[in-house]
Amino acid sequence: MSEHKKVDRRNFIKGLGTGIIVGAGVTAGATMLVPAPTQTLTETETTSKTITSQTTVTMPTTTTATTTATKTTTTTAPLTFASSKGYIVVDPKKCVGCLSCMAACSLVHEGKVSLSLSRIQVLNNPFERFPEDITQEQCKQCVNPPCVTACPTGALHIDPATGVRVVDKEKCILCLRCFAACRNVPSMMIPNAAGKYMQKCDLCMDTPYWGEKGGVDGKHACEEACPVKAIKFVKEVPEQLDMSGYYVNLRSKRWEELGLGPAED
Amino acid sequence: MKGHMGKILRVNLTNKTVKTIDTTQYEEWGGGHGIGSAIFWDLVASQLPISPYDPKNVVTIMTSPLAGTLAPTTGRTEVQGLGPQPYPIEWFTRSNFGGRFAVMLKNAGWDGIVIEGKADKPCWVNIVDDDVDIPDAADLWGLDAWETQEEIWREVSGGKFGKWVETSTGRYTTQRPAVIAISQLGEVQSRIACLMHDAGNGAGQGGFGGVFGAKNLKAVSVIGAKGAIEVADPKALFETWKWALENYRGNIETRKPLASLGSGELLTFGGSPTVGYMGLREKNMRPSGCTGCPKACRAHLGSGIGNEQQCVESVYYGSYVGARYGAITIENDIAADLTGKFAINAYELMKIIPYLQALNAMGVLGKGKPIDTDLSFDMLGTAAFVEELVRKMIKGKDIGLALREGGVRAAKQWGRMEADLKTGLLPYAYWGYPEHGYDPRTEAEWGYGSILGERDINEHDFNSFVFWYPLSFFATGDYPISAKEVAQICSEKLVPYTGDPLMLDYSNEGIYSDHFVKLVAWHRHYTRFWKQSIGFCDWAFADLVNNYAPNNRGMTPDGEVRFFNAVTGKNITFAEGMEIGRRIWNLDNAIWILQGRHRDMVKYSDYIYDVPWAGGIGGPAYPLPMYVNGEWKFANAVGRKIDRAKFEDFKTKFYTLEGWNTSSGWPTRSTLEALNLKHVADQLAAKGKLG
Repeated sequence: MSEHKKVDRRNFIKGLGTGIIVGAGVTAGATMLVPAPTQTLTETETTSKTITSQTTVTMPTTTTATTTATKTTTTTAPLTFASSKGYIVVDPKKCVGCLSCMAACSLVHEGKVSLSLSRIQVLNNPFERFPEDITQEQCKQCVNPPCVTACPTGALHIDPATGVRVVDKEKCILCLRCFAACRNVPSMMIPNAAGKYMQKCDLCMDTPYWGEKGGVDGKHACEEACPVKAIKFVKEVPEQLDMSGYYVNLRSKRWEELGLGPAED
Repeated sequence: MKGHMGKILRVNLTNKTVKTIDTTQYEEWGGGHGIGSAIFWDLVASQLPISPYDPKNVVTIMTSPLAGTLAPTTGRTEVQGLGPQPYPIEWFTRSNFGGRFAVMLKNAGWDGIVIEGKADKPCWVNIVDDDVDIPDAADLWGLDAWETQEEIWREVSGGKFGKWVETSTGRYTTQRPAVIAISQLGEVQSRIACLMHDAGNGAGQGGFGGVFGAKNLKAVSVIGAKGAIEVADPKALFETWKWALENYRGNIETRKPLASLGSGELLTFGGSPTVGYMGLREKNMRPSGCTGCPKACRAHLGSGIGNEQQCVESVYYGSYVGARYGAITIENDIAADLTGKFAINAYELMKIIPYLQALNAMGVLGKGKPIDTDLSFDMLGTAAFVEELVRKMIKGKDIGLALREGGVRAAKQWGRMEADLKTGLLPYAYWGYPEHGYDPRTEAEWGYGSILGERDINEHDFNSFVFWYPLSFFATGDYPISAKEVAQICSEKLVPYTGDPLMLDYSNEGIYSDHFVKLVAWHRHYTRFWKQSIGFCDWAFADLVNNYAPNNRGMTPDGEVRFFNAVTGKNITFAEGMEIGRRIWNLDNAIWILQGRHRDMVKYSDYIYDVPWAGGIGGPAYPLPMYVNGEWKFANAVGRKIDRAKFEDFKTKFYTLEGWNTSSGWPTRSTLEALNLKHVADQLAAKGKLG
């Protein structure tokens, strides 16, 4: 057994990290954790549910970012984005909050299990009423992906074969712009602090620790692991208005007959 | 070993220092209970006997190497230490809870927590990844267990839920801190105070809430993002998860069972979600699973009342609510929530309330009666009655001062204990614990395990299919699975005692047989390792008879081994795991012996021997598999009582099988040394207590 250290109550409140993280929310003597960068929440999707998987939208954007290091990178985002050929949709009223999807996600991608490395995030509040007690959030593979447009290095890009929004971790400089740009709450850009890059849902295209083929024509770890089938892979573009198409009803009448919850929304 | 995070946190509350223990030092014990017992032995054994309230008492809070990895149901936390609830000796004991705590602790990089000493004033422990703080708890003292947790959430996370927050190590998480807390009842060192995590995950038995109170420790909070759990064979782990769910549960919305187990299926791995919630069902609700559990026994309700309350919490008051209102109402669930808010042992309430009611009816207890109380029995059936009772305990007023010591000690203070244990008016069967409902006179393995151990075992490994299943069909006698098949399935699976179906013979003679001795030994060794150390949940494992599985055969013993080896990279057999369980069982017994254990005191309360069982949890019948006159059948154990001489003979046979001295019940040197426990044998010898 080794001596660790003498404890001082606040000695572990972290010095702030990268340059774009500001100290908002840190109150001396009161707050132990630092809120992540503020997300941009003002943009709204305007495309309709008639969009097909091959639909493209136009979004001319040029982004310049200066990192906290000395490196300055300028890149021009493409004018149009191919839609993803697949999407993950969820049923937050069916989710049981066991976090098995999160364990599966990091297991197949990283070969180890960490809630923080999961690309799908489930949040529990044990004191809250159903259905507000559980938040179940996944990458939307946005038709108009702000993470891609925010990326100053081209690390975040559209996979040409599948349309999946993916990260080239070699190009990522961990500037967290994509993290802040993601419209989802919580952000679906996942900081991999140990690897010093961002990661996101790739629809299991790159799962070296899994014995299954992933991708838009394969299997998906979160869907496969979910014990109640509250997660589903679909090829059709979900309803984009208010992102409502990503939250679906996956409950059968049998679900209600078993006394597990309402079959209808 | 993969699966472990590599370090255990050691917190000394007396001098406010923290140290780390290298997990590899204790890896041979597997995890959870095994490591907890080994650390307790190293830190405390030489000082025994001491009081659980002594600052030298050590509480261990341990996880499993499988927790958080996709090994189903293993996200549980094992709590150990000297507990104030057992009577007459405050045994080294254990309790276990689910929820999020174990997995969050590992995500912070820790395998467990060891708490020793006593703070000079109220404090709490705050763990954020590698960083550990012991803040003052002046602002938390006096809050209930739920208020405490929510206050700590606000302080640690700044109330920023739903978004990512950054820990001190530059990692991010979306999760709330996982907190275990005591209520005001723990603060006053009640022997029936629990540790509570989230709404309803309690380390309820043993009285660890009172131990926290004695240490001036209000809560332990953890949040982390740094710890990534290493898995030896990720592909095999995922494959095993799929294998287990597809073969032993199936799709709950489309599946058909092979045969009906009635109520008995609920406690198997294949059991339906929300099985644990027995309160007022609402249309708007959902199943709620502990982290890593596909069963999701708990429920979250549209009202938010009754969230996570299950089994005894959600039923202990139901008969009173039903009697008052003619049906189960929301009062039942409010009363269930009170056990969570006030972190009180619901089993005690389940026995204390009818005991008080009986004494009141007898004219012994009430306003102006010999046991004087202003408790309003007119309110019985309302949640307000329970709250009034608990608040009397917290304040130490009225009968509350006696009752916060637990039912047995309260009865002793009132001069009634001996007489009421003789008649069974006070149904506390073993070591001062309330009888669980699975009575020693009927379901013998439950009673034997409890009295040979140190607490109501609360282990349902056989209970689901030896009692609940036949009870469902007892009225018609038309059993979908025969008693013979139940015994046969078990005889195939009870490694290392395979091939003996008579181990499942619960007949009047069978429960004293050499066969049944093996069943009890299997149970003690299995639970010590595979469940309490490796973390498989009691409501899913052992998976023996499972009507959603091939040929009604559950995944035990294959499943446990496949998950363990995939995560850890070890290549052990099920039997080797059982042997580690036997080693842990011997170490636990050595600790009890240093506290004063001798076979002469291993006895049930008198009513178990003297009063025939006449009805209980399942009504007037207690059907069990029995082998009578050369035939297997499910037969009613009503009217049975335990024979003193036969039980003494059973103990002798059990001690013989364990390799212990039959006069004292103490392990022999040869037995301990064969288990690589020479240091334990030496310690017992030094105290003159080697068998």
